[in-house]
Amino acid sequence: MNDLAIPDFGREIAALLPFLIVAGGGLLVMVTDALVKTLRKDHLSYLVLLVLLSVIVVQTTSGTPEGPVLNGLLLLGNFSRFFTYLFVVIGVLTTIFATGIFDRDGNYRPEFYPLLLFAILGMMVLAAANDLLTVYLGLETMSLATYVLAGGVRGNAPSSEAGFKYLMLGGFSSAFFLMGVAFVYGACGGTGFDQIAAALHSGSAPMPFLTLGTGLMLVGFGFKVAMVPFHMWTPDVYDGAPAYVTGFMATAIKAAGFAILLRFVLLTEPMLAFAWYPVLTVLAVLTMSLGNIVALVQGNIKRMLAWSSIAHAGYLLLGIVAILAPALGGPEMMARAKGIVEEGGAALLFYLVGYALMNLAAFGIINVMGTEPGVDGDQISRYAGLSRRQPVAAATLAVAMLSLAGIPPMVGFMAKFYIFSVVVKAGLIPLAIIGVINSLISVYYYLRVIVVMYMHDTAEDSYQGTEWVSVAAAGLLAFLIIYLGVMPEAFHRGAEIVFRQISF
Amino acid sequence: MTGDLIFILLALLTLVPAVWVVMSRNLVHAGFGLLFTLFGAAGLYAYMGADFIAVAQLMVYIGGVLVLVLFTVMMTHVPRSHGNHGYDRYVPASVFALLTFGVLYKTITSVNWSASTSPAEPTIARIGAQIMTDFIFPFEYVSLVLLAAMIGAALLTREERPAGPANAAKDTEVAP
Repeated sequence: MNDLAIPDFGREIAALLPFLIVAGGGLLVMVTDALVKTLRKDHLSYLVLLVLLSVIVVQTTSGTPEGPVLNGLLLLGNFSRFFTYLFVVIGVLTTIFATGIFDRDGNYRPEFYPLLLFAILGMMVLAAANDLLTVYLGLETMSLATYVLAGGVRGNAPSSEAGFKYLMLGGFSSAFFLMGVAFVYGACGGTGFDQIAAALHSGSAPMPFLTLGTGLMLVGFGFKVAMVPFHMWTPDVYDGAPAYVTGFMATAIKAAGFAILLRFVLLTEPMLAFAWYPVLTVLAVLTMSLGNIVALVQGNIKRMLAWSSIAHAGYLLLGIVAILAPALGGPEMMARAKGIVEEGGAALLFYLVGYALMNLAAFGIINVMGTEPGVDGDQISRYAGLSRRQPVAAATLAVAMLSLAGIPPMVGFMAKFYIFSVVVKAGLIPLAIIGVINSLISVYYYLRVIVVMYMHDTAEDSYQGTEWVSVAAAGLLAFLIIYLGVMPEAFHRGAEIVFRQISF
Repeated sequence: MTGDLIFILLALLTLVPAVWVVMSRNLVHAGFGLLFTLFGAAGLYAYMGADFIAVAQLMVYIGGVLVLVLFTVMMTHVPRSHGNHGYDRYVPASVFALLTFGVLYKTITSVNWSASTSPAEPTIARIGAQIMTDFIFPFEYVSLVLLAAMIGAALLTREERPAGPANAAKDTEVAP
């Protein structure tokens, strides 16, 4: 048992300030809604935006302490800070999209805001986790809040189905994950990442339990990031949930899942690279191919983007495979290993940010389009002729689609370029070819949306309203997509620095 | 000698209802059989000095899981099953059971038991101290997880608010 000495209290509080602001903000929003009777619908959203912006301000101005805090349960630094920024920005956009729509779809739920903040808190904990305990807690906070966000539209059968499906399957995946944690704990004698790393380096951990445990944990992670074969829930949940929630799930949860998957793979790499490598290679190929092929035949834009998000999980997995490859190569490979690992990590982080930008832009527009009660707003045919009635919305969606397809000069192209070039550098040329072929397949279904918007005649039941705040926010994202696509260098270098912290 | 007697009684308390659980055709009976089995297992833990696991067994399995099982069975009106119980399931079930038993047997026989003959220390106090020191963050953080779950449960299950004057004012006023 450790002694009861209190660690440097001020340092710990300063380090935890962003977490405390989000947690306290969630409670504040909840209590405000309950106590203040004269609240207008959009007031809570201003409060949420204030909370999230103050996280950004605090994190930017106060030099948050680096290194492990709370007895090594959390590891703070560039990596966690990077993801906090990402989650907070996604949260801001989700708040804007959701608030803009609550008036029109009549599904205003004040509980949305605290749950959104709790989900973000869980993701922040997940990205900063340095112990399997905190990994699990972050995972559960994030998941519990999102189950409700997805299923929270009362009296809407698809939403209820989405919430229920996500809850049941999420519960199963959590059980798998916990079983894996138990095995890894038993094999390594500790749940802390440091203890696990020490046990792996000394070689004292028994192999069967270790592989079994990490395999079970991979199921849990794979579910969260929608990796084949744990992707079954994705189309139904993405389709049934309100579009602003889907955008949040597709970007933030995927980023959080890959953040912790990346850390865990790097942690166990010294001993388990031989097992991770073939498994993740097969999963990456399956995930990319199945996602892209099934997306081809979708007539509903949310389902199409759900399958596309599965495909993108596959590209992201390729990045992890490239990071693992040097550990298995010969001595000639080891010489270049450091460079490949760093470039691979930077490519992954860059991809996550680019993916968040383009998906949020797309879902922002879909959210605005599909909110008339009683209309199945998510059919691609409803977007016919959008370019003439809503030129900004159409252009934004077009930019997002081009970027998702990986066409220059959008950020999606640069993101894929970085990933594939690392894969080639790691000597995995067949994998890179499979990735490029997949990317070509995907062009078809992304471009179809643009063709419908720009070349088809206006549909009868097409979108008439205006929601200029959401459209402007999505338009800003479209601008960022092009900006980062044209000038990715500075950001990519930044991502490399961020990654260096966790590549032990 | 008394110790052996206690052990035998506890083992019987665990095993006999376990057989009942498997053989019973009535789900409610099976549920109550499970209660005795789980209680016996808790008693075995306590007998070995594993006080925390014994308490956790009581609280989680009997207090939580089993009550949930019984509630579910009673509230969903599962018809009492008659006749053929599906004997074709016995083969995979027995294979699985035998495999599990094999793994357990292998594990039990491969452990060096001489290392742990000393009586186990009580662990609850140590766990409590750990929770309040090294693991204070997860302990406090769980409250937020539970809060999120509670908000969600309330949101999903509460009745639609009647359109009273107080609520109507709040609901009809829209943002610019």
